[in-house]
Amino acid sequence: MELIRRDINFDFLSKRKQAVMLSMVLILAGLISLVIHGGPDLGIEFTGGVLVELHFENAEDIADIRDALSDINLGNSEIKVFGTPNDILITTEQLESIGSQDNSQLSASIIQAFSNRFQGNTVTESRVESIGPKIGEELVGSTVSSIALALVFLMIYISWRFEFKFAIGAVVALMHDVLITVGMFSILGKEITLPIVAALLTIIGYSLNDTIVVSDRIRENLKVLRRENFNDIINRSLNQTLSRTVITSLTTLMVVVILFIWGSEVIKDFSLALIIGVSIGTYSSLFVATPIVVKYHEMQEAKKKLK
Amino acid sequence: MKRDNRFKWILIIVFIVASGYYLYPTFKYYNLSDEVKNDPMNIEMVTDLERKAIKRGLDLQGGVRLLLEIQLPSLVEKLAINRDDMFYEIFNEAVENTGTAENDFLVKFEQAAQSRNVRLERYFDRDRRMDENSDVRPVMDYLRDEASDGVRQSLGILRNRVDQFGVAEPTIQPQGNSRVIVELPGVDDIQRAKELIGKTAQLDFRLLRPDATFTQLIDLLDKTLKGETIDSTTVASDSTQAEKPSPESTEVNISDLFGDSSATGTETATVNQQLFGEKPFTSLLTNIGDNRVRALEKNVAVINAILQRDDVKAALPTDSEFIFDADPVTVGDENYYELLLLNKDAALGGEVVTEAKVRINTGSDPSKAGQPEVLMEMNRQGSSEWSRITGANIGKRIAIVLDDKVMSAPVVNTRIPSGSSVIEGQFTMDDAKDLAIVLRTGSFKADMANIQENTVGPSLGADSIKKGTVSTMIGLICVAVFMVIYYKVSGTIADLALMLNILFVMAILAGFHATLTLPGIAGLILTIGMAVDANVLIFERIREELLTGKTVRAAIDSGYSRAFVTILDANVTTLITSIVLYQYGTGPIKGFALTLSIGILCSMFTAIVFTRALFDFFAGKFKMQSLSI
Repeated sequence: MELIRRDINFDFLSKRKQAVMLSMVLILAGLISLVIHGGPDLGIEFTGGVLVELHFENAEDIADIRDALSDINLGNSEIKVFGTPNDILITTEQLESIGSQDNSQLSASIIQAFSNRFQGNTVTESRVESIGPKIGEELVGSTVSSIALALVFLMIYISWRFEFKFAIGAVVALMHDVLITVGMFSILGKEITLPIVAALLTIIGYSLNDTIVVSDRIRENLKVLRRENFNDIINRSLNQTLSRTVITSLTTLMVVVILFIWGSEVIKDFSLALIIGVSIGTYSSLFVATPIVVKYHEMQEAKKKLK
Repeated sequence: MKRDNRFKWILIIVFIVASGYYLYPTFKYYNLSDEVKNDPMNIEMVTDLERKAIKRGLDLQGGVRLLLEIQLPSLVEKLAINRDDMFYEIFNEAVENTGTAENDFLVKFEQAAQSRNVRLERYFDRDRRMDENSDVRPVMDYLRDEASDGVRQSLGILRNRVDQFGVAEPTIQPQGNSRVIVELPGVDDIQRAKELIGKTAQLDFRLLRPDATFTQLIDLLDKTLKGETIDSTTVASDSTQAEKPSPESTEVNISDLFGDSSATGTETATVNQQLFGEKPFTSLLTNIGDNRVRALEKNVAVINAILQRDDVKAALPTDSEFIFDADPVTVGDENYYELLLLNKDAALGGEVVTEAKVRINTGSDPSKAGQPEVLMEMNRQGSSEWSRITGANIGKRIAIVLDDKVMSAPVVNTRIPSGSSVIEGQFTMDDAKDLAIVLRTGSFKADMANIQENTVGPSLGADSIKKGTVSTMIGLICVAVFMVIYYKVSGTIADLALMLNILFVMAILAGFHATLTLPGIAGLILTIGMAVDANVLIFERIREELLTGKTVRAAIDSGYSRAFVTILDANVTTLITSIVLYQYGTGPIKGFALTLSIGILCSMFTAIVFTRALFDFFAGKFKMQSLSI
């Protein structure tokens, strides 16, 4: 069985302009959303605060729940249905007046308020995460430095194995992927939590994976098909690896979609990030990374001519 | 060639057998029926199996993870003597400027003192010999030592407490110089565990201030509060029905009168309207005769807030402290807490307590008989002090204070030579037991604040495992079926490699006692999708080579050799990000990075070595002219 014809010869490079426009639109949409919302919606592990996931034996109305929270001055918390109507997620950002670093009392008082209010209905805590603001700040710092670190290592590795221009193409492609994913999340109103950051790092790894397979074929073809035009070689390489690119994306998407559907609630947003990232990553390997390599190459050739 | 092959096969078989060996305990453990698990005869076998099985993260088995941090300000305050205004000036400036660096408070404290040319010896010199001419250094070293000592001590106390509480496999570890990680897997009563861990357990015995002083200070508070422009006409004339002790009680808005109400969590307080204008503080209290007062439960927070105000703190003398009783008295529908005025300094500190036991009250007082109470014993020095103190204060009350709440304040009837004291209150058996544990293990030198908590209830954990297993199965099946459809028999070979892959990853996790978390399961599933890539690269290459007319064996050869380089480069990059993620992530994320990394490494092995061995075997044995790929 073959999904991609053996002798396919699609001219990827000629679609550069359209690709750039598409990417611009996606990135812009994301950026606009980010600006409107004042930056990405960071989860409490970055801002500090308390998250309580509760399981109610009998589902209660959200309005009633909010009332119960107002009794203890937490009426402004975010309340979400999480999975089934019996599972509620309550998130409260770090409250100044709660003062000290110690948020653990907050979760206890929330449970207490519900037990008082909803007599006869058993409320159990499924999950509690409480994070002091200091930890949150530290986490933001370490997130940024770890992403930067990963990018540095990757650039070094690619520059070593291929040429520098491939490294640039690769890094631009993956920054493009991450940016669009974060933008999409902002548009969809989803939080950037720790698992999402893990997903972003995975997307970086995966996107690179793709780009390298293509670059490897380009490298090989450059050696073998010396006489041909650079752009033609690029196109040829893209076509030759298309089959593999499509299949791998397919299998990866397959499992991630399965995770999205059957995985636990906590994993859903994580899987969504991966779905977006893997799709965009595949697209960027074909339409974003290589045009950059071509552009760089053209600049190099132009410089050579001047000499 | 043949020798290479034999070596490959030996390697493969060794790995498979080893995996089986490492995974067997997990398999057996999860298939044990509950009945067998709970049978006490089997306890050794079960624990042994559990230890060898794959370790589940907290998010899969339920439990609590706490990150505690030593609160340096409170430690410094506690260690200091002669705390005067200058001390608090330096102290407060340091608190304001403390940044996120570890032990930064000490640095800022030192700076604040130096900028004012203050010698810190006068606050910390106790009975240590310090050079008259020394600068700030030795005191700072002393404070730093106390800080690390404090962390070390809290580790010990936590271990003791957790031990006595009874948790299966707790983890209590320091992190950096000022933090402690506590992990309690599989705890049933999470609230109780948290309270046990978090209790500072600062115990001391304090005398009450004389009655005259009590009345005087209440008066003083009334006057201080009146200094506000309180318009008594803003009092809402709510028709709240008068309850026995306070005639004409009214609801008033806290924010109107005493300022910001957000710290108290309530909006109103109940006051005695008659007294309110003249004596705002007294109006919050209820007189119970004998110079004792108590307050309605809803007023407690307001009163505490008032007592924390700067102007109030300045007005009150530094030798006294208002403290509430820990247990309420119920009258009708309402709970009341007694408010006492104690000496700020302890007559006797809690470190003399050597033992704490729970017993049932067998006295004649019906309100107490049958209730659990905690009996404490003291060491020799404590006992003789206690004897002296009780002897000198017969007829007066002595308060037993635990973490700024009065546990008991009985009247001293006789001198107590035996060094024993009792805390009675409204305890459940569990409460009493926990209190005894906490008294027995001693108090934290410094407050340990809970700066991060991750708790997962057991049912969520089990649910996550179930969903994770289901997803993995479905994922495997889908990918496997696809591979067979697309690559036919070769696809089946790839599927075998996939199964082996998963087997190896799980075995490695079990063998190295690595922890499997929920994201870890996600990582496993992701590996399924990405691992197939190696096979795809090889197969696509082989297809290409076959099209150029090569023989089956030659195509297989060049397919593998050419693809190898690509696989290496591609997987190394994913590995790099995985490793960075492992270093950076906490618990669950680490689990994800771990399974992803292990999965990728194993997939390289199975794709390159295992499938190649299989291909070679078939190609050699059957002298194939064509390849089903």
